[in-house]
Amino acid sequence: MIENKIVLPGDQVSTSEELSPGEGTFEEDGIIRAARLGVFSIDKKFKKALVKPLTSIPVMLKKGDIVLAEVTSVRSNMVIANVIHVVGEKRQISGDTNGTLHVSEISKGYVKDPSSEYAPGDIIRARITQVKPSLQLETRGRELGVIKAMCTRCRHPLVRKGNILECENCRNRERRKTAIDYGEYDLNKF
Amino acid sequence: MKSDVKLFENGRRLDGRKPDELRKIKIEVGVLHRAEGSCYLEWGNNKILAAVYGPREAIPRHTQNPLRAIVNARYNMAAFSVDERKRPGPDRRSREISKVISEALENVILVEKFPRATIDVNIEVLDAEAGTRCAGLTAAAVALVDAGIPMRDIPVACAAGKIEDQVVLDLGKEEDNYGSADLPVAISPRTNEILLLQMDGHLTVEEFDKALDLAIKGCHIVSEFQKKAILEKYRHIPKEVG
Repeated sequence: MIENKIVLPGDQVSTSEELSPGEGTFEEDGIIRAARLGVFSIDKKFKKALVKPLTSIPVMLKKGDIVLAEVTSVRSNMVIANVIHVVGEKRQISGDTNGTLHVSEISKGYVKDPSSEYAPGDIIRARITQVKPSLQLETRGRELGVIKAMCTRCRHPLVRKGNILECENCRNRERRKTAIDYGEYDLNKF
Repeated sequence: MKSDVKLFENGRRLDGRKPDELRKIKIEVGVLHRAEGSCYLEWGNNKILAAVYGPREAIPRHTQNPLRAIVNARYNMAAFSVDERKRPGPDRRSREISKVISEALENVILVEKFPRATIDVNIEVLDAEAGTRCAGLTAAAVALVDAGIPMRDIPVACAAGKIEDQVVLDLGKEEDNYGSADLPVAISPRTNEILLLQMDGHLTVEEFDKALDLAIKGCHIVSEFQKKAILEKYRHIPKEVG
Protein backbone atom coordinates (compact mmCIF):
# COMPACT_ATOMS: atom_id res chain seq x y z
CA MET A 1 0.00 0.00 0.00
CA ILE A 2 1.36 3.37 -0.99
CA GLU A 3 1.60 6.10 1.61
CA ASN A 4 -0.36 9.34 1.15
CA LYS A 5 -3.00 7.58 -0.88
CA ILE A 6 -6.66 8.43 -0.30
CA VAL A 7 -8.50 5.45 1.15
CA LEU A 8 -12.19 4.76 1.71
CA PRO A 9 -13.72 2.79 4.58
CA GLY A 10 -13.05 -0.91 4.02
CA ASP A 11 -10.00 -0.46 1.80
CA GLN A 12 -7.07 -2.65 2.70
CA VAL A 13 -4.09 -0.63 3.91
CA SER A 14 -1.77 -3.25 5.35
CA THR A 15 -1.52 -6.62 7.06
CA SER A 16 -1.13 -7.59 10.70
CA GLU A 17 2.33 -9.02 10.03
CA GLU A 18 3.54 -5.71 8.72
CA LEU A 19 1.99 -3.06 10.97
CA SER A 20 -0.35 -2.74 13.90
CA PRO A 21 -3.72 -1.04 13.49
CA GLY A 22 -3.67 2.62 14.57
CA GLU A 23 -6.14 5.45 14.47
CA GLY A 24 -8.73 5.26 11.72
CA THR A 25 -8.10 1.61 10.98
CA PHE A 26 -9.40 -1.76 12.09
CA GLU A 27 -8.19 -5.32 11.84
CA GLU A 28 -10.14 -8.15 10.27
CA ASP A 29 -8.82 -11.63 9.49
CA GLY A 30 -5.21 -10.50 9.65
CA ILE A 31 -5.76 -7.57 7.34
CA ILE A 32 -5.69 -3.92 8.37
CA ARG A 33 -8.36 -1.83 6.71
CA ALA A 34 -9.29 1.84 6.74
CA ALA A 35 -12.28 2.70 8.92
CA ARG A 36 -12.75 6.22 7.58
CA LEU A 37 -12.12 8.38 4.56
CA GLY A 38 -8.61 9.74 4.76
CA VAL A 39 -5.00 9.63 3.72
CA PHE A 40 -3.03 6.51 4.58
CA SER A 41 0.21 7.02 6.49
CA ILE A 42 2.60 4.98 8.60
CA ASP A 43 3.78 5.81 12.09
CA LYS A 44 7.34 4.55 11.61
CA LYS A 45 8.30 4.79 15.27
CA PHE A 46 5.51 2.53 16.49
CA LYS A 47 4.98 0.62 13.23
CA LYS A 48 1.36 1.68 13.11
CA ALA A 49 -0.97 2.09 10.17
CA LEU A 50 -2.89 5.37 10.36
CA VAL A 51 -5.61 7.00 8.32
CA LYS A 52 -5.50 10.77 8.64
CA PRO A 53 -9.08 11.93 8.24
CA LEU A 54 -10.23 14.10 5.37
CA THR A 55 -13.67 14.58 6.88
CA SER A 56 -14.47 15.97 10.30
CA ILE A 57 -14.37 13.16 12.85
CA PRO A 58 -16.24 12.50 16.10
CA VAL A 59 -14.82 14.42 19.08
CA MET A 60 -13.60 12.11 21.83
CA LEU A 61 -12.42 13.58 25.14
CA LYS A 62 -8.72 13.09 25.83
CA LYS A 63 -6.51 13.68 28.85
CA GLY A 64 -5.20 17.23 28.69
CA ASP A 65 -8.06 18.68 26.65
CA ILE A 66 -9.28 22.14 27.65
CA VAL A 67 -13.05 22.00 27.86
CA LEU A 68 -16.01 24.14 28.77
CA ALA A 69 -18.41 22.64 31.29
CA GLU A 70 -21.53 23.57 33.15
CA VAL A 71 -21.60 22.97 36.89
CA THR A 72 -24.60 20.80 37.67
CA SER A 73 -24.16 20.19 41.36
CA VAL A 74 -21.81 21.10 44.20
CA ARG A 75 -21.15 18.50 46.87
CA SER A 76 -19.12 18.71 50.07
CA ASN A 77 -15.93 17.37 48.51
CA MET A 78 -16.45 17.67 44.79
CA VAL A 79 -18.20 19.47 41.99
CA ILE A 80 -20.08 17.71 39.19
CA ALA A 81 -19.95 19.38 35.81
CA ASN A 82 -21.33 18.48 32.43
CA VAL A 83 -18.78 18.95 29.65
CA ILE A 84 -20.40 20.83 26.81
CA HIS A 85 -17.60 21.79 24.48
CA VAL A 86 -13.99 21.05 23.66
CA VAL A 87 -12.08 24.26 22.96
CA GLY A 88 -11.00 24.33 19.33
CA GLU A 89 -13.48 21.73 18.10
CA LYS A 90 -16.62 22.36 16.07
CA ARG A 91 -18.43 19.10 16.66
CA GLN A 92 -20.35 17.93 19.66
CA ILE A 93 -18.76 15.49 22.05
CA SER A 94 -19.12 11.74 21.60
CA GLY A 95 -19.31 9.69 24.75
CA ASP A 96 -19.64 10.37 28.44
CA THR A 97 -19.74 14.06 29.36
CA ASN A 98 -20.41 13.88 33.09
CA GLY A 99 -17.22 14.98 34.82
CA THR A 100 -16.23 15.38 38.45
CA LEU A 101 -13.94 18.00 39.88
CA HIS A 102 -12.46 17.10 43.27
CA VAL A 103 -11.92 19.86 45.89
CA SER A 104 -8.19 19.38 45.77
CA GLU A 105 -8.22 20.03 42.02
CA ILE A 106 -10.12 23.32 42.15
CA SER A 107 -7.23 25.71 42.69
CA LYS A 108 -3.60 25.80 43.73
CA GLY A 109 -4.37 26.90 47.26
CA TYR A 110 -6.38 25.07 49.90
CA VAL A 111 -10.12 24.96 49.35
CA LYS A 112 -12.20 23.89 52.31
CA ASP A 113 -15.58 23.79 50.67
CA PRO A 114 -16.31 23.67 46.92
CA SER A 115 -19.44 25.77 47.42
CA SER A 116 -17.20 28.75 48.20
CA GLU A 117 -15.76 28.54 44.68
CA TYR A 118 -18.50 27.23 42.37
CA ALA A 119 -22.27 27.23 42.20
CA PRO A 120 -24.66 25.26 39.99
CA GLY A 121 -25.12 26.89 36.59
CA ASP A 122 -21.60 28.31 36.36
CA ILE A 123 -19.81 27.86 33.06
CA ILE A 124 -16.26 26.81 33.76
CA ARG A 125 -13.16 26.18 31.71
CA ALA A 126 -11.36 23.06 32.90
CA ARG A 127 -8.66 20.60 31.92
CA ILE A 128 -9.32 16.87 31.65
CA THR A 129 -7.07 14.79 33.90
CA GLN A 130 -8.65 11.39 33.34
CA VAL A 131 -11.18 9.89 30.96
CA LYS A 132 -11.37 6.26 32.06
CA PRO A 133 -12.85 4.84 34.25
CA SER A 134 -14.50 8.18 34.99
CA LEU A 135 -14.17 11.68 33.66
CA GLN A 136 -12.09 13.88 36.00
CA LEU A 137 -11.45 17.60 35.67
CA GLU A 138 -9.17 20.19 37.23
CA THR A 139 -9.25 23.99 37.33
CA ARG A 140 -5.80 24.78 38.70
CA GLY A 141 -4.22 27.64 36.82
CA ARG A 142 -5.02 31.21 35.92
CA GLU A 143 -6.75 30.47 32.65
CA LEU A 144 -9.05 27.87 34.23
CA GLY A 145 -12.12 28.49 36.35
CA VAL A 146 -15.45 30.24 35.98
CA ILE A 147 -15.91 32.17 32.75
CA LYS A 148 -19.57 33.03 33.28
CA ALA A 149 -21.69 32.94 36.42
CA MET A 150 -25.15 34.01 37.44
CA CYS A 151 -26.26 35.53 40.72
CA THR A 152 -27.57 32.80 43.02
CA ARG A 153 -30.28 35.13 44.31
CA CYS A 154 -31.73 36.62 41.12
CA ARG A 155 -29.99 34.78 38.22
CA HIS A 156 -28.68 37.99 36.65
CA PRO A 157 -25.13 37.86 35.29
CA LEU A 158 -22.35 38.58 37.76
CA VAL A 159 -19.72 41.17 36.91
CA ARG A 160 -16.16 41.08 38.16
CA LYS A 161 -15.24 43.78 40.68
CA GLY A 162 -11.63 43.17 41.71
CA ASN A 163 -11.47 39.80 43.38
CA ILE A 164 -15.17 39.44 43.86
CA LEU A 165 -18.19 39.06 41.58
CA GLU A 166 -21.10 41.41 41.94
CA CYS A 167 -24.65 41.26 40.68
CA GLU A 168 -25.65 44.47 38.95
CA ASN A 169 -29.28 43.84 39.69
CA CYS A 170 -29.39 43.10 43.42
CA ARG A 171 -25.84 44.11 44.47
CA ASN A 172 -25.29 40.62 45.78
CA ARG A 173 -21.56 39.85 46.12
CA GLU A 174 -20.26 36.36 45.50
CA ARG A 175 -16.91 34.62 45.46
CA ARG A 176 -15.75 32.34 42.64
CA LYS A 177 -12.61 30.72 41.35
CA THR A 178 -12.58 32.82 38.19
CA ALA A 179 -10.56 32.35 35.06
CA ILE A 180 -8.37 35.26 34.05
CA ASP A 181 -10.72 36.23 31.22
CA TYR A 182 -13.95 36.08 33.23
CA GLY A 183 -16.87 37.60 31.35
CA GLU A 184 -14.85 38.26 28.20
CA TYR A 185 -15.22 34.88 26.57
CA ASP A 186 -17.92 34.87 23.89
CA LEU A 187 -20.17 31.93 24.57
CA ASN A 188 -22.30 32.62 21.50
CA LYS A 189 -19.54 31.43 19.21
CA PHE A 190 -20.97 27.96 19.19
CA MET B 1 -52.48 -6.50 -9.38
CA LYS B 2 -53.27 -6.78 -13.07
CA SER B 3 -53.37 -3.75 -15.25
CA ASP B 4 -53.78 -2.80 -18.85
CA VAL B 5 -50.39 -1.11 -18.84
CA LYS B 6 -47.82 -2.99 -20.84
CA LEU B 7 -44.67 -3.08 -18.73
CA PHE B 8 -42.52 -4.72 -21.35
CA GLU B 9 -42.23 -4.07 -25.07
CA ASN B 10 -39.57 -5.48 -27.44
CA GLY B 11 -37.12 -6.07 -24.62
CA ARG B 12 -37.49 -2.55 -23.27
CA ARG B 13 -39.26 -1.41 -20.14
CA LEU B 14 -41.78 1.41 -19.79
CA ASP B 15 -39.12 4.06 -19.35
CA GLY B 16 -36.94 2.58 -22.10
CA ARG B 17 -34.54 0.73 -19.81
CA LYS B 18 -33.16 -2.73 -20.47
CA PRO B 19 -34.06 -5.44 -17.89
CA ASP B 20 -30.73 -5.07 -16.12
CA GLU B 21 -30.41 -1.31 -16.33
CA LEU B 22 -30.52 1.07 -13.36
CA ARG B 23 -32.21 4.43 -13.22
CA LYS B 24 -30.04 7.56 -13.27
CA ILE B 25 -28.20 8.17 -10.02
CA LYS B 26 -26.78 11.45 -8.77
CA ILE B 27 -25.06 11.76 -5.38
CA GLU B 28 -23.90 14.93 -3.65
CA VAL B 29 -21.93 14.86 -0.41
CA GLY B 30 -21.94 17.36 2.46
CA VAL B 31 -24.93 19.48 1.52
CA LEU B 32 -26.17 20.34 5.01
CA HIS B 33 -24.35 22.85 7.17
CA ARG B 34 -25.40 21.91 10.67
CA ALA B 35 -25.27 18.14 10.25
CA GLU B 36 -22.05 16.28 10.95
CA GLY B 37 -22.41 14.42 7.69
CA SER B 38 -24.96 14.68 4.93
CA CYS B 39 -25.84 13.53 1.45
CA TYR B 40 -28.34 14.39 -1.24
CA LEU B 41 -29.23 11.61 -3.61
CA GLU B 42 -31.32 11.41 -6.74
CA TRP B 43 -32.17 7.95 -8.01
CA GLY B 44 -34.50 8.22 -10.96
CA ASN B 45 -37.21 10.47 -9.57
CA ASN B 46 -36.42 9.62 -5.95
CA LYS B 47 -35.00 12.63 -4.16
CA ILE B 48 -33.52 11.89 -0.77
CA LEU B 49 -31.71 13.89 1.86
CA ALA B 50 -29.74 12.07 4.55
CA ALA B 51 -28.15 13.67 7.61
CA VAL B 52 -25.98 12.16 10.33
CA TYR B 53 -25.71 13.51 13.88
CA GLY B 54 -23.48 12.12 16.58
CA PRO B 55 -22.15 9.91 18.00
CA ARG B 56 -23.68 11.63 21.00
CA GLU B 57 -24.99 10.63 24.39
CA ALA B 58 -28.10 8.49 23.98
CA ILE B 59 -31.22 9.96 25.54
CA PRO B 60 -33.32 8.58 27.25
CA ARG B 61 -30.63 6.91 29.27
CA HIS B 62 -32.18 3.45 29.37
CA THR B 63 -31.63 3.12 25.63
CA GLN B 64 -27.86 3.35 26.13
CA ASN B 65 -25.78 0.25 25.69
CA PRO B 66 -22.66 0.27 27.88
CA LEU B 67 -20.75 -1.78 25.33
CA ARG B 68 -21.61 -0.17 22.05
CA ALA B 69 -23.35 2.66 20.24
CA ILE B 70 -26.90 2.39 19.03
CA VAL B 71 -27.71 3.38 15.49
CA ASN B 72 -30.95 5.25 15.22
CA ALA B 73 -32.07 5.70 11.63
CA ARG B 74 -35.23 7.65 11.00
CA TYR B 75 -36.87 7.23 7.61
CA ASN B 76 -39.45 9.87 6.92
CA MET B 77 -41.50 10.69 3.85
CA ALA B 78 -42.39 14.29 3.22
CA ALA B 79 -46.11 14.95 2.83
CA PHE B 80 -45.50 16.14 -0.73
CA SER B 81 -43.25 13.22 -1.74
CA VAL B 82 -46.07 11.15 -3.24
CA ASP B 83 -48.96 11.92 -5.61
CA GLU B 84 -51.65 11.80 -2.98
CA ARG B 85 -50.68 13.85 0.09
CA LYS B 86 -49.17 11.56 2.72
CA ARG B 87 -50.28 12.16 6.27
CA PRO B 88 -47.13 13.44 7.92
CA GLY B 89 -45.39 11.60 10.71
CA PRO B 90 -44.22 8.06 11.31
CA ASP B 91 -46.52 5.24 10.25
CA ARG B 92 -46.26 1.47 10.16
CA ARG B 93 -44.35 1.46 6.91
CA SER B 94 -41.79 4.11 7.78
CA ARG B 95 -41.19 2.63 11.23
CA GLU B 96 -40.43 -0.71 9.65
CA ILE B 97 -38.07 0.85 7.13
CA SER B 98 -36.35 2.83 9.91
CA LYS B 99 -35.82 -0.39 11.82
CA VAL B 100 -34.39 -2.42 8.96
CA ILE B 101 -32.10 0.42 7.88
CA SER B 102 -30.86 0.91 11.46
CA GLU B 103 -30.03 -2.76 11.69
CA ALA B 104 -28.29 -2.80 8.32
CA LEU B 105 -26.11 0.18 9.27
CA GLU B 106 -25.35 -1.22 12.72
CA ASN B 107 -23.61 -4.12 11.05
CA VAL B 108 -21.05 -2.01 9.23
CA ILE B 109 -20.43 0.81 11.74
CA LEU B 110 -17.76 0.09 14.35
CA VAL B 111 -20.27 0.54 17.16
CA GLU B 112 -17.93 -0.77 19.87
CA LYS B 113 -15.93 2.44 19.62
CA PHE B 114 -18.70 4.58 21.08
CA PRO B 115 -20.21 3.00 24.17
CA ARG B 116 -23.40 4.63 25.52
CA ALA B 117 -23.69 6.79 22.42
CA THR B 118 -26.27 7.06 19.71
CA ILE B 119 -25.65 7.74 16.05
CA ASP B 120 -28.68 9.42 14.54
CA VAL B 121 -29.30 9.06 10.83
CA ASN B 122 -32.19 11.04 9.41
CA ILE B 123 -33.42 10.02 5.99
CA GLU B 124 -35.86 12.43 4.45
CA VAL B 125 -37.69 11.37 1.29
CA LEU B 126 -38.50 14.53 -0.63
CA ASP B 127 -39.75 12.84 -3.77
CA ALA B 128 -40.68 9.19 -4.06
CA GLU B 129 -40.74 6.87 -7.03
CA ALA B 130 -40.31 3.26 -5.86
CA GLY B 131 -37.21 1.95 -4.17
CA THR B 132 -36.93 4.68 -1.54
CA ARG B 133 -35.62 2.37 1.14
CA CYS B 134 -32.70 1.35 -1.08
CA ALA B 135 -32.05 4.93 -2.06
CA GLY B 136 -32.36 6.01 1.58
CA LEU B 137 -29.86 3.47 2.81
CA THR B 138 -27.45 4.32 0.01
CA ALA B 139 -27.67 8.02 0.91
CA ALA B 140 -27.31 7.30 4.63
CA ALA B 141 -24.11 5.34 3.98
CA VAL B 142 -22.56 8.26 2.13
CA ALA B 143 -23.61 10.67 4.89
CA LEU B 144 -21.96 8.40 7.48
CA VAL B 145 -18.67 8.49 5.57
CA ASP B 146 -19.00 12.27 5.39
CA ALA B 147 -19.46 12.36 9.18
CA GLY B 148 -16.19 10.46 9.65
CA ILE B 149 -17.86 7.63 11.52
CA PRO B 150 -15.66 4.51 11.52
CA MET B 151 -17.10 1.77 9.33
CA ARG B 152 -16.07 -1.60 8.00
CA ASP B 153 -17.39 -0.83 4.55
CA ILE B 154 -19.70 1.53 2.72
CA PRO B 155 -23.04 -0.29 2.57
CA VAL B 156 -25.18 -0.03 -0.52
CA ALA B 157 -28.67 -1.11 -1.51
CA CYS B 158 -30.51 -1.90 -4.71
CA ALA B 159 -33.71 -3.70 -5.61
CA ALA B 160 -34.65 -6.31 -8.17
CA GLY B 161 -38.11 -7.54 -9.01
CA LYS B 162 -40.37 -9.39 -11.36
CA ILE B 163 -42.59 -7.85 -13.95
CA GLU B 164 -44.58 -9.95 -16.41
CA ASP B 165 -42.55 -13.09 -15.59
CA GLN B 166 -39.28 -11.38 -16.24
CA VAL B 167 -36.71 -10.64 -13.52
CA VAL B 168 -35.57 -7.04 -13.77
CA LEU B 169 -33.29 -4.67 -11.90
CA ASP B 170 -34.38 -1.56 -9.99
CA LEU B 171 -38.15 -1.30 -10.33
CA GLY B 172 -39.70 1.97 -11.41
CA LYS B 173 -42.98 3.35 -10.13
CA GLU B 174 -45.40 1.53 -12.43
CA GLU B 175 -43.33 -1.63 -12.27
CA ASP B 176 -43.52 -1.55 -8.49
CA ASN B 177 -47.27 -0.95 -8.52
CA TYR B 178 -48.23 -3.47 -11.19
CA GLY B 179 -45.32 -5.90 -11.17
CA SER B 180 -45.49 -9.18 -9.29
CA ALA B 181 -42.50 -9.01 -6.93
CA ASP B 182 -40.03 -6.58 -5.40
CA LEU B 183 -36.79 -7.62 -3.69
CA PRO B 184 -34.79 -4.87 -2.01
CA VAL B 185 -31.29 -5.96 -1.00
CA ALA B 186 -28.56 -4.15 0.92
CA ILE B 187 -25.04 -5.49 0.95
CA SER B 188 -21.57 -4.73 2.15
CA PRO B 189 -19.95 -4.60 -1.30
CA ARG B 190 -16.49 -5.69 -0.16
CA THR B 191 -17.66 -9.01 1.25
CA ASN B 192 -21.04 -9.38 -0.44
CA GLU B 193 -22.52 -9.84 3.00
CA ILE B 194 -26.27 -9.25 2.99
CA LEU B 195 -27.37 -6.51 5.40
CA LEU B 196 -31.00 -6.21 4.41
CA LEU B 197 -33.27 -8.48 2.43
CA GLN B 198 -36.98 -8.05 2.05
CA MET B 199 -39.46 -9.41 -0.42
CA ASP B 200 -42.87 -8.31 -1.53
CA GLY B 201 -44.86 -10.57 -3.87
CA HIS B 202 -44.09 -14.04 -5.11
CA LEU B 203 -40.97 -15.51 -6.67
CA THR B 204 -40.07 -19.11 -7.36
CA VAL B 205 -36.76 -20.35 -5.96
CA GLU B 206 -35.09 -19.98 -9.36
CA GLU B 207 -36.48 -16.51 -9.84
CA PHE B 208 -35.41 -15.53 -6.33
CA ASP B 209 -31.83 -16.65 -6.96
CA LYS B 210 -31.79 -14.80 -10.24
CA ALA B 211 -33.25 -11.64 -8.70
CA LEU B 212 -30.82 -11.73 -5.78
CA ASP B 213 -27.84 -12.06 -8.10
CA LEU B 214 -29.15 -9.22 -10.22
CA ALA B 215 -29.74 -6.99 -7.19
CA ILE B 216 -26.23 -7.65 -5.88
CA LYS B 217 -24.84 -6.79 -9.30
CA GLY B 218 -26.85 -3.55 -9.16
CA CYS B 219 -25.49 -2.82 -5.68
CA HIS B 220 -21.93 -2.96 -6.99
CA ILE B 221 -22.76 -0.46 -9.71
CA VAL B 222 -24.36 1.91 -7.17
CA SER B 223 -21.36 1.43 -4.87
CA GLU B 224 -19.12 2.87 -7.57
CA PHE B 225 -21.36 5.97 -7.74
CA GLN B 226 -21.06 6.39 -3.97
CA LYS B 227 -17.28 6.17 -4.01
CA LYS B 228 -17.02 8.54 -6.93
CA ALA B 229 -19.20 11.11 -5.18
CA ILE B 230 -17.22 10.91 -1.93
CA LEU B 231 -13.86 11.23 -3.66
CA GLU B 232 -15.20 14.05 -5.83
CA LYS B 233 -15.90 16.10 -2.72
CA TYR B 234 -12.71 15.33 -0.79
CA ARG B 235 -10.03 14.88 -3.42
CA HIS B 236 -9.34 18.58 -3.67
CA ILE B 237 -8.75 19.44 -0.01
CA PRO B 238 -6.20 16.92 1.18
CA LYS B 239 -3.22 19.15 1.90
CA GLU B 240 -4.41 20.73 5.14
CA VAL B 241 -4.29 17.47 7.07
CA GLY B 242 -0.71 16.50 6.17
